[in-house]
Amino acid sequence: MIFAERLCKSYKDIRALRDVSLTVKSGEICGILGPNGAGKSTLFKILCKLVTPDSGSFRIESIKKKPLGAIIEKPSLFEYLSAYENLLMLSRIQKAPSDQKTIEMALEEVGLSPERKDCVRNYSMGMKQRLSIAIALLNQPDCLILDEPFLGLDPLGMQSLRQLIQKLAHKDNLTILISSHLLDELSRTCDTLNVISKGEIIQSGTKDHILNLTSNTYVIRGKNLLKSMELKNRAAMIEGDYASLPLTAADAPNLLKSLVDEGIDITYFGSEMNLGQLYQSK
Amino acid sequence: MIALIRAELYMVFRQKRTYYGLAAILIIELFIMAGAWFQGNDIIDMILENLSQNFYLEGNLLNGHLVLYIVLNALWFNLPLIIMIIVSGFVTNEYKDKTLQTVLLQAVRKQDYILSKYIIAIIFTLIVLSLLMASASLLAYGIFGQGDLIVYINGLNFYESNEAFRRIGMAFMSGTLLMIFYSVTSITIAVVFKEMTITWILCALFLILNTLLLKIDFGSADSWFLPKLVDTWQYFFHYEIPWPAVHHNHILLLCYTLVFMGFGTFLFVKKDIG
Repeated sequence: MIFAERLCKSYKDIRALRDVSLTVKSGEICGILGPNGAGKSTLFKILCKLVTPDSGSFRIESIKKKPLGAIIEKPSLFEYLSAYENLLMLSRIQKAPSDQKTIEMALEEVGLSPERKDCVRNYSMGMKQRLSIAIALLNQPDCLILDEPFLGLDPLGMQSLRQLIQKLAHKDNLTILISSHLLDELSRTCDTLNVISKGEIIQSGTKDHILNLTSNTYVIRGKNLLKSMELKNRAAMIEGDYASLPLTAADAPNLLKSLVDEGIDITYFGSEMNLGQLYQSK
Repeated sequence: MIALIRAELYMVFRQKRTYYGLAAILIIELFIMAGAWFQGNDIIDMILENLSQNFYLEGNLLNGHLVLYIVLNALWFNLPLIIMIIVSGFVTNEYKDKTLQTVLLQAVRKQDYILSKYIIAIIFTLIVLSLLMASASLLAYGIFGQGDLIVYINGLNFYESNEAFRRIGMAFMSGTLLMIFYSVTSITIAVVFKEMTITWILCALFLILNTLLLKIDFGSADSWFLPKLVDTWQYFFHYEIPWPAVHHNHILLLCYTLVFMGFGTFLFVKKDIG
């Protein structure tokens, strides 16, 4: 469990964090959503004890030698070593099991081949991300912090990383805190979400709650949209086979039903996330 | 801690830049040896000019001992900067590549990590100095052979071959202590400034100031002043070795080394990472 209370941090004149409080339970995946410079990395560095907060406190509930594993900002690896050697060296320095079988299993768990012997500098960004997760998981921590883990991954890479994170939380009961500015990926991966802007947590709750806050514009694609009276009455903006209109999540099923009743041939109906509005939604 | 030191040592010798550094040191040594051979000829010519009218000089005066003595003179002037550049890289490169963060995100204490860096710096310096000592001796004695050593310090001093060998060995050990001080200092500078180029510039500035201040007389404070410890190795070529001064300087240098190491460790533990 991760528990933080009223964390504050300033860098000279810039307030990076302001009264940030957060609780993440065991087995929960908590997302931190925020634009660049919102304070996500500073929060994570504090939780990882790399940076000392100006005020506030935090607690990582764990009896493990390494309570927390983390990737901060980007994968930082020993580029002149192979993936195997990276894991081997970082296991040895903390006296974690470093036999061949354990290291190979750690590589396989994140989908990397133990057969590959070349230097990490030849790896793609996705492979480096995976190796970083394997490093974060060394010594079996109870909590995992992943700062922008989806950065630079292709759709398949994102999918397999999402599955890995969900397995770690829901099967292995790890407490996981993830940051991203990709709401779509966070909403698919996390159980709860916190929105951070200008160093403050401005919204928090279940992912459905946060998604509802962003989803006040809906997009419809289909044929003969111009014939719909319902869309005209709701002052929708219609351009050919595309229409958009402001709509609450609660009202979305009513509109959909009306359009079907009017005989509109709908090929897509979905919400458009408005992050700008979300970041100012305090 | 031992596991950390072993892993760090493994990583130091897995990096190409370490070997480039070692190659640079050996190239410097070769140039110094070549210079020593020419300089040695000039020194012998000068001595012979003055002395041969009154004394009968027998044997080979331009021998391995004289070459090693001249090498020592040049080495302690040229070696510190390159050692400081290589050693400070052990820390600045980790800041640059952010691998420092990766290590500290593991179950590793900050003080253990930085102390292991200092220990690695000392081990590396010892390895470099041993390599230099071995290769310089091999070349000097192999090419020029052995013989008596003639040195000009407060007048002309002659040492028999065995005595010359003993004194050169002690001077080398004294110089090694100085090099250890420089490498420890470079780690501390790297901890304070983090950035590679700034660290290099400050290492060079530190050495230049040390050399400049060596020439200035500070009266009674002289014996406690860091730059005055730089040429302690020369004491081993005084006819009577001034042992109290040698011990005083070595103990003081050790204290300075520990103070720099303690300051760097304290700062590293206190400072935020990233």
